[in-house]
Amino acid sequence: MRDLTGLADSALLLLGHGSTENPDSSAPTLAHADEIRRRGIFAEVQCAFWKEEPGFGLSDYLFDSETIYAVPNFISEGYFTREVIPRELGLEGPTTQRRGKVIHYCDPVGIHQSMTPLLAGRARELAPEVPVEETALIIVGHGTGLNAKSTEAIRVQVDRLIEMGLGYGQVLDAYMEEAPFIADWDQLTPLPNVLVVPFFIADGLHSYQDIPVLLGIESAPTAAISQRDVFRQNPVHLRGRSLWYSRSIGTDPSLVDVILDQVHDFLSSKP
Amino acid sequence: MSASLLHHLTGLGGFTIGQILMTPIEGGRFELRHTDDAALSVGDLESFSDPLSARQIAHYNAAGEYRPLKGTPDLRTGWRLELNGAEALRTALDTFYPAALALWTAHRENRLRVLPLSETLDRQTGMYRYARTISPEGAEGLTQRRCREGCSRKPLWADGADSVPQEPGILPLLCPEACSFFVAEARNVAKAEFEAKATQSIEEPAK
Repeated sequence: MRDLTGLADSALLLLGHGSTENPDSSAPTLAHADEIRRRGIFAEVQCAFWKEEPGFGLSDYLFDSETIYAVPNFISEGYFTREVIPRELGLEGPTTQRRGKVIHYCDPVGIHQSMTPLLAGRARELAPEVPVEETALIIVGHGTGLNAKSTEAIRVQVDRLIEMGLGYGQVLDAYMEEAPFIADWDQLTPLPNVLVVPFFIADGLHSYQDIPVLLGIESAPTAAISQRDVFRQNPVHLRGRSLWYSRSIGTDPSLVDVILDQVHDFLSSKP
Repeated sequence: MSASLLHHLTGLGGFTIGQILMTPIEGGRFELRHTDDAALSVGDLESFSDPLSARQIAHYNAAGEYRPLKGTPDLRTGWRLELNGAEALRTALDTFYPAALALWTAHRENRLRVLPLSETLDRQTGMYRYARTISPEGAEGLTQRRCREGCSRKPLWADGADSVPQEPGILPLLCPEACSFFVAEARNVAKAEFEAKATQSIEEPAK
């Protein structure tokens, strides 16, 4: 059971990527912050972004509270969580004292173990009637040759989903920019039903606009999700299979609990 | 942000912040509307009462273009927010102009740290490392275009820490360090400068 009593004098800082191009990138981070604020666990809840305002570098002006828990709303450990955020916030380790504030730097949401049941739930909701044994579940991420950590978070999730014994014919990982490529989804599995769940924070540029083109659902990137009337219809019959494509896992309202789990785990790990 | 700021804000009577006019109305409530709509009657404007409505209002400009940088002076008109209490006022203003109240408070309490552009650019890594090679002229041109003319925030890092506007009834929008938009554009300018030099050296080989 998560015990977060005793944080009523502390602040929560949610750190997101944001985007100068896609209007939906910061929406889940803002929505999760709204919900956590509504629950009244912390004295203050604020967001800061890399590509929107307020910028990471202005974070410490946002709070009256002396103690701040900073949680990256990022999907994996990597360049942003290890380099950009610590640099912009002036962090020196898990706990930093500066300018009269104590900043506790928690792990990013995407690497928490409670992401696995969230992915399983999302897959089930996507196609509740589909016979799982004839179905492949593909968790898709960005992938980059520059950072091995970027794919590790997804491979861990896939291993855990397999361990859960959900009955899927296959559970696979695939990526936009490295093998196994999501563009080859029909080559990755012989099964007739394919569920694709994007392991992304938002329905932004990559998951809403780029991946559907790679899957073959769209011939060119569409407008952003907030500028269209509906999310895509499922399933799509393509390349001789039935294909379901989910919203990004980061848009799930349950992500609020993952954020709080990361604060809880930080507190529990203290000697 | 402190209760003292809220007290100060609401005690000011009306004020202007960026493109927004704040007017106290009866019953401890506050109205926000676009400064261009100052003379319009209530019935001519679309009314909202949830402070988070500011998110939808500020998200796109009148042409339907996304506004990632909330300081751009293209806030759309035609709306009014009627807010119940100082906390709702603060939430709405934080949404229209993120961190503006916090930065102003820090300035008033002499806590605002103004970071020279060179420091902001020098700490960049990855693809933005190249931004530090921008020429002083290139940086000045970009500051003029994107900051002084293209943003409602006052670039203290370019114009000096003591350049905070002091006008009665105006709550200034302060910018203590170049934002990530500026850094991204500085990289583009630096690249263009490098390419222009390379082209020049091909066309005019050293004698």
